[in-house]
This record gives sequence, structure tokens and C-alpha cells, in this order.
Amino acid sequence: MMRSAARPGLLRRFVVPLALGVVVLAAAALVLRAGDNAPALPATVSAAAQGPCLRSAAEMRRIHPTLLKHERQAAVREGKRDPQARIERCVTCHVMRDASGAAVSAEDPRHFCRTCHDQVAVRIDCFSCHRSTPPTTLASGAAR
Amino acid sequence: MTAIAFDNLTASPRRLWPAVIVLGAALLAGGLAVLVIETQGHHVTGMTNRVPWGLPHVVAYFLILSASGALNVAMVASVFRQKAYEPLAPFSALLAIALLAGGLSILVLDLGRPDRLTLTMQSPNPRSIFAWNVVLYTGFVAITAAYLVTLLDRRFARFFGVTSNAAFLWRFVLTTGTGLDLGILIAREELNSAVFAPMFISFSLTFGLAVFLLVLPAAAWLSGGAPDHALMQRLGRLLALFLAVSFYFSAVTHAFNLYAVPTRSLERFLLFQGDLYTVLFWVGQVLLGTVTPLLLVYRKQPIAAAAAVVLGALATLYLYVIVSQAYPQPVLPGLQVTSAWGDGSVASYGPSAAEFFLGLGGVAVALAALLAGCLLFRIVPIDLARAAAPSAALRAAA
Amino acid sequence: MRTEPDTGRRKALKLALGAAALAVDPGLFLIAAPAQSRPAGVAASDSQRWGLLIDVSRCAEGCTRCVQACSAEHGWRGGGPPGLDPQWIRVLSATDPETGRSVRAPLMCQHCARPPCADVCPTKATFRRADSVVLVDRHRCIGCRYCVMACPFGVRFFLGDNVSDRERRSPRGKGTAEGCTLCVHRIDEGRQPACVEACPGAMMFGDLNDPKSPIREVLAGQGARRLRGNLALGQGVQYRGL
Repeated sequence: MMRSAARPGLLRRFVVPLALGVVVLAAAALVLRAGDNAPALPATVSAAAQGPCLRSAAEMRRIHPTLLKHERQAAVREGKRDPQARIERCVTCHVMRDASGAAVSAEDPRHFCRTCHDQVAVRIDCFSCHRSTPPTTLASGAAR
Repeated sequence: MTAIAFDNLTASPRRLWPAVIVLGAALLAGGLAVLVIETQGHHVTGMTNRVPWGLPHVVAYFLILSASGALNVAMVASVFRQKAYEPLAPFSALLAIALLAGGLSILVLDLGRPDRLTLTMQSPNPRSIFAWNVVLYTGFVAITAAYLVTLLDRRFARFFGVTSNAAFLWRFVLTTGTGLDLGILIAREELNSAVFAPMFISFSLTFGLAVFLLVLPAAAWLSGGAPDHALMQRLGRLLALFLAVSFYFSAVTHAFNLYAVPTRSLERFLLFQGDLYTVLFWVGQVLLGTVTPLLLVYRKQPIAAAAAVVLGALATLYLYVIVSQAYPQPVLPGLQVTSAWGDGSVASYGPSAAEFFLGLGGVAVALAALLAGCLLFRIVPIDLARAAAPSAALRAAA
Repeated sequence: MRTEPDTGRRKALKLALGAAALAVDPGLFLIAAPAQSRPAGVAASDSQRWGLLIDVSRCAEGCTRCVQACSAEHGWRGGGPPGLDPQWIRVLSATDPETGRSVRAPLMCQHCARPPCADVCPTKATFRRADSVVLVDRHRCIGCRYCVMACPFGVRFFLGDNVSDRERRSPRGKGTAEGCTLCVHRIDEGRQPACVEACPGAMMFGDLNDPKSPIREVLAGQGARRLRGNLALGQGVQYRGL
């Protein structure tokens, strides 16, 4: 196989620059995300709140992804329903309202989940399927 | 393996830059199509709930089948020890990887939620042929890349036997899996057969070699070289043989479907009453895709034959993928069914611009990957890499 | 706020009425017998197997109450160009070309015991719950539409459009597959699927594993058939009168 002596091997030509690039990017990411400044929680919880949250605020901040994942596994795949753990209950208690009193949806940065998630730049996927506002009443006046 | 000289493709700028611009434009168009589909939703495409898989899947299947077939030249060289093809083995392996990457990119970017693919594929369904295909496709890339390394780097030459044999076996398993994508659909009687595995293997040999016969002269054109005439003629005759076998499989399955009562009405529709589909079969698959290439090979025009095969291939795959979806399913056999949903009637499907550019983008991914590989790595045999024909001394010195 | 299930007395009364009606004439009307509500935190089990029985001779000409009820319950609209928008339940009109006899039959996910959609799903997003309801776990669905291809009845759908104003108990999202859920959010609470509740008497829902359930009694007595029975899928949805 013809190979000129002056050209460095595959390793030096590609792998090392690639690895350097990865290290630089990782360092930049760490620097820019430095600190763990959780934003202040919105002060109000809806008057329609039906009792305390599943966990304390500090605990929720830490484990709510795990809770959500566990609950959805149980609810969807195993059929274990827990009325206290429904997303519907979360968005009802933590509803944020705009000036006219209408509930804001997850499209709006004032939505409860968005206030924190926007700050820490973690995209949430829940409301691509789930309703992000409390249930409204039907035209007939009955609750949905 | 004898010492063969390989080099980076030294393309003349006058020819390279237009190629790069065209590929770049196709990639951009594909990227825009993906953006539109992902943000607006698939309702901007022609794919509906009656015809959920459309033109992008046809092009993706073509690229994936061509990928395992494109490896054939390398396999003939390495597994069947035909020395005449050894200079082309690395190029063939790179082409296989590039084509598979192109096909996979279409499939992945057409998903409704591609952002989830890496997450949810962490617990795949062992009963799903689709899940197995993901393993087979990525494994194919890995094994073929390993084989390529053993060809290019003498330090790894001792793994040559293992990787070449593994690639040879793997590519058959892969194409079997691709064929069974359609073959395991019990809902569609005309598709529900294991014959799709060997049929798709024959398709892969044909389509892959046809793509090879188009891409190799194109690469040579970029550098101002030319592939060996006798080699091209030999490959052209091989293409004719593969094409005959492919057509045999397809013709027998069509004839069988016409004979068997459950599939007769669908086959009649396809062959005689289906407007676009009938034209695609007789003009696209038969005339352009089978008769014309055979004639062209006989007239010693392998490149033109390969181009005709590619067009016929797209028509063939379009028929297999689309017609079964469009034709109504026998939910209540024996009864004439109607509904607001369109049960009982043939669904209409027309590819949208987004789908066309998504497919084009996938082809561009494959060709761009191949071009990049040829420019960066020493893949191309030296008489194609540069315009000047090598002297005997230069070959001996390698 | 969860609705309270029927009190024991009302349940017993309904059962008695239903049994009496069946004793008089099994084909008189199909009474929707209430299921048991499952307590919170208890998983669905294979001791129950949910089934639907549809008597097409009672499917009235021009009636689309099941379609409208499902549409209101889950928020899909349908009604667009044929084959485009999801339509979880639709009414087929079928005519025998030899005799001219025509029937109407609602068609929804058949909740097969051996579902081809669950077989082909690469991520196990489409799955069969222990109590035989075929569901899509939209958290896992990647939107490949292989299940839509594989369904022998054309009752799987791919949502290709944005959803506005989601229904509270029926999450739906762009880019995932969907279909009739047998109203699991209702049946887990002991209620009927929305279509069965709206139907004036052609649909019956119940536990196929319970030998005393009305649906089992009708099936044992008069039988019913499954669509495309030669595929041996073991659907939970069965039809009488086809």
C-alpha cells in the first residue's frame, strides 16, 4: 500500500481534532450553565386547589421528572390510575391566569411549568399531547 | 491481496464545483422539506391515513436495497476472490455505506417524532421487524466500515477475512429484513408472503449494481479519468443477469396474484384498470425497467442500461408500496362497502413537493457522503483518481 | 372531579332489569351493564377481558350517535376529505351484491388479542394492556406509521396536524399514532365507553372473562362473528347480524 511518510495517520488527522472539538463544546456548555439558580416559584396557587401537592416544593423540584415518568408508566401501560397524580390536577392547582382571568396554556411563557423550564432551558414535551389548562365547562354548563 | 494503488479523488474544480453546488442545493431543499413537515405536520404531505407511506419511503427503500447491492462488487472481489474487481472494492464498500446513510436519513426524518428515536429505541420490540431493521442497518454500516478499514489500512489486514464474510452474510440478513417489512403484513394478502425476502434480495443485487454503474463513471468524470471499458461491459452483463432474476420474481408474484382468487381483483386493478399504476407497471417497470436495459446491455451500453434500471426500480417499488395501501382492504369480504372514510374505494395518493424534496435530499445525502469519502480518503483506484493514466512503473512501485 | 359510580342499589336494579329483558327476548335490546370501577393504584389484569358486541340489525339508518359521542369525548373532528383526518369510529354501509341486503356497522379499533399493530411497532408504543385493550403509549410513539400500514381494518390513524383545545381525559399529539381506546379512562372508573353509552341499543360492552356478564350470555347463546375471522386475531369487538 502506497503511503507517503509526510502524511500523518487517520488518528492524528481526524480523531484528535474531533476530540478537541468535543472537549471545547462540553466546556462551553458547562460554563454557560454554571450555577443552579432555580427561579422563584410563582406566589399564587389557584383557589381551586384541592389539597396539598404530592410532595413538598423542594422535593417536587428535584423529583418531579421521576414522578411524572413513574406515574405515566403506571397509568398508561399498567392501568394503575391515581386521581391525585393526574396532570389535570397539577395544571388545575398551578393555573396561571392572564389579565382577563383566562388560564394561560403552555404556549404562553407565563405558564407555570414554563416559568421554570424556560429559565433552565429544558424543553418539556408533556403538553404536545396533554391539556395544559384546567378543564372548562361544556356549552350545556356541565363540567367536562 | 495484491498491492493496488489507491488515492484521494482529485477532481478538477471546473467539474467538482457544479457537483457540490447541485448536491448542496438538494440537501438544502431536503432540509427545508423536513422543517416544513415537522413544524406543520404530515398533513402538508400527500400521505394520508389510507396511504401512510409514500414517495419518501419508496426512495428510502430504493436507497437501502441499493446499499446492500452496491456492496456486491466488493463481495465478488473479497469473498469470491475475483481479482479483476479488487481495485473497486473500497469504492463499493463506501458507496454501500453512503447509500444506506441516505436511505436511513429519509426514514428517520420522515418520522412523526424523530426527536424520540434514540430514546424509545432503547427498549425495542423484539417482535417488530422494524426494530430489527434498525439493528441490521446500523450493524451493516459498522461491519462495512470495518471491512473498508481492513482494505485500506495494512495494519488491520488480518481482519479482512472475518469482516468480508460478515459483511457478506449481514447484507443478506438485512435485505431479508427489508423484504419482510412488507412480507409480514397479514392485513394485505398480496404482500403477505415470505417470497418478498428473496425477491428483495434479487432487487438489491440489480438496483445496487445499477447505481454502482452510474456512480463509478460519474466519479471518474470528476477527475477526468475513465473506468476500464472491459470491466464496465462485464458488470453490464452481470446487471442483465440480476435484472432477469428480479423480473422473474416480480413476474411470478404478479401472475400468482392474478391467479389466486383473493388477490385477483387487486392484481387486475394494478395491471389493467389502475390508470397511473398500470402505466407505471407496463411502461415503468416492464418497458423502461426491464426490456430497455436488457436491450441496452446487448448493445453494449451499460451506463444507459443502469439509468433505465434505476427509473424502473423506482416504479417497481412505488407499485409495491403504494398500490397495496391505496386499494381497499376486504374488511367485509363479499360485500360492497362504502363509508364517509372511503372504505371500499381506491384511495388517491399524490406525492407533494415536500415528499419529493425529502426523497431528493436523501439521495443527496448518499451522494454527498460518497463524494466526501472519495475526496478525503484514499478509496478510488489510482487510474480513476487522476486523469493521467498510470505507467507500469508507477503501479509496480506501489 | 371524579364522578361517583352507581350506588349498589342502582346497579342491582339495572342488572335485574337487564336479566329480565334478556330472558324475555335475547335480541330485544342490548343493555349496557355497568362494569366495576377499579380502585386507585390497582393495575389492570388479565382476569378481565373487555369486549364489545354490536348488533348491526339494530344499527338504525342515518344514526351516527356513536361517532358523535366519540368525537366529543376525544376531540377528533373527522369529516374532512376521506382518509385524511383521524376518525376513530366510522359507520360502514355494506351491501350484498347478490341479494341486495344492506347493513350498517360501526367500525373502530377491534382490540385484537393478537394485534398486528402491536407486533410491528418498533418501540412497543402500541401495546395490549393486560385487560385486552390495545392502546398507544404516546410517550413512546415515534410516528413511523407502520401500525397504520399493518392494521387489517384501517382503524389506526396518524395525527398529522396540530391539536387545539385538547380534551381533558384524552391526550392526543401531533406526530403520534392513535385510535379507539375503548375509553379506558371511562371503563377504569366503571363507566361505559362513550359510543356504547350514546347508542340506543345496538352496542353492548362487558367483560368477556366473566361467565355471568350479559355480553358473555348473548355470545354463548346466539354467537357473533369477528371481522376478517380468517386472520385469527381474536378481536374483542364482535358483530351480530352481518
